[in-house]
Amino acid sequence: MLSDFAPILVFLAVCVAFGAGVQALASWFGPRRPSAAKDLPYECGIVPVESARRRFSVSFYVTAMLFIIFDVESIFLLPWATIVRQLKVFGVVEMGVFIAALLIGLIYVWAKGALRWD
Amino acid sequence: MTGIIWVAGGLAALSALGVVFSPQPLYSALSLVLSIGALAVIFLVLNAQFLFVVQLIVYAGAVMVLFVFIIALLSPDREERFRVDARFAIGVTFAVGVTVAMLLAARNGITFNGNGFRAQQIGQASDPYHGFAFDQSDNGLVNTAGNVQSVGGQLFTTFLLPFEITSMLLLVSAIGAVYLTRRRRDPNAPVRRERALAREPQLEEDRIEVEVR
Repeated sequence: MLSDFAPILVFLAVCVAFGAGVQALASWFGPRRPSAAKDLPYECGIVPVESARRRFSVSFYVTAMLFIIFDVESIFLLPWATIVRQLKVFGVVEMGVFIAALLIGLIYVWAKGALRWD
Repeated sequence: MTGIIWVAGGLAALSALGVVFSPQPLYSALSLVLSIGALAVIFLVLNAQFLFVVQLIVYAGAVMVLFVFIIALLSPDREERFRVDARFAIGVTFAVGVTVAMLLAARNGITFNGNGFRAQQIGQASDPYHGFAFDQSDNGLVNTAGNVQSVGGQLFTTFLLPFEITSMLLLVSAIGAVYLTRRRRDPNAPVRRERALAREPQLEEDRIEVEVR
């Protein structure tokens, strides 16, 4: 039922209200005296030497791809979990086959060192 | 309930405009997250809880991560501001025309199903189950049981084979992603400094000299 999702709506509302409220309070009550020194990188920060808009390593892309694959796997676990009692052993076996196939993929990825960051 | 649909629909439409008109690709991506989230709320109100979860976890979660990483990977600069020229006008006219035509068709009950396009009586098209093999008397039951269970019940019995094939598809994409981007060097190959030293041995002396100094 839709009313079961009311806590999520309340949660969202509290999040938005808190975020907006803190910003608003800070801008209303906080002193604002900008100076050149305040715009410098703080203490141990390094002065930027070039634009932050530069190309990233392809390793990020592999990580994102692998995340998507196992995220899509997890989405199948949700409907399965709601009816696993009705499906009984059959459901466990078929999900076992599904996860076993993806486990092969995970082992391959692991063996190829795609999970290492270097 | 209608109020939620109006708010979420308006938010989805506004953030979709933000996707198109943002000068920074990253802002477009963030607008797309908001648009996807608003659409998820509409799915939820329409009693499609499974689509709601898929929309949030797969689209707002996984696919958006890929979008953002690709933006970071390609590092596009600011887009140049769009100009209102003939191409822009044609595109907007086409998009608005198709949208209005679809809304009119839906309003007048012209739908697409296994028999192709056909006109229904007005009002019939608003019944989401018409044209499908759903038992009409079962609607209340389906909705109270929760859409996730009914999706699961179909997926793990009737559509068992496609479900298992999906795992093969995911397996292939995992292997493909790693294969296409893996390092071609073997792990025992000399690292960059060793190769540089092999090429120019005097670098080693330079290094020692620096350290002594």
